[in-house]
Amino acid sequence: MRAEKRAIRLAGATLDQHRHVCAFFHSREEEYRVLLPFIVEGIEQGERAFHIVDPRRRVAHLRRLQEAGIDVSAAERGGQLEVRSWEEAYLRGGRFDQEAMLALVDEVLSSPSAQRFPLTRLVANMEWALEDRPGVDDIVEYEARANYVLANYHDAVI
Amino acid sequence: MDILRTHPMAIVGGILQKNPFFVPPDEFLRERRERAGGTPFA
Repeated sequence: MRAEKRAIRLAGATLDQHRHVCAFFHSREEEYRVLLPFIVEGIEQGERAFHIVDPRRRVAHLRRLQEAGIDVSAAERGGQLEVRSWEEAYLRGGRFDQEAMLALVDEVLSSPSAQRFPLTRLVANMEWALEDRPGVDDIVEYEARANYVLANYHDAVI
Repeated sequence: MDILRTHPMAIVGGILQKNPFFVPPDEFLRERRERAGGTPFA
């Protein structure tokens, strides 16, 4: 089955060709109630999961994945799951650089690691944008420009 | 809230929906430049 024809179920609906999703949650419980079935479905379909998380929540995040039935160690070892901290993605070099981040998203979705899988489901926590981080004012422009990058891919990005 | 205008889809209240506030990036970025006082031909 071609990647773009695969069903991507998310939050009570199916994602169509527009796969750049903004998500607001009232609580951590709501966040995982909505996102875990989406993440698990991707893993079960043999797709790749790329997550960006608050480094203070990395361990708890992996535990949530494990409790949802994902063999986290095996998935990480096999390259199917990659979990990066904010500092390894949005905040490399201690600040948000929209050019660097757009390049990273492009690289993540086009890399040889991505090519090994039919689809990447990228889940990026952006709560750092609520904090006073250097470069944070560029976040809106980055998100608008990300649509140009994502138009080249069928991957789902939340 | 500008960030909502940059995503074609949104999850609100736990439900995925087409985002009625979405503005295509060309238009959104042009608006921002104009608001910032620049000219689109600069």
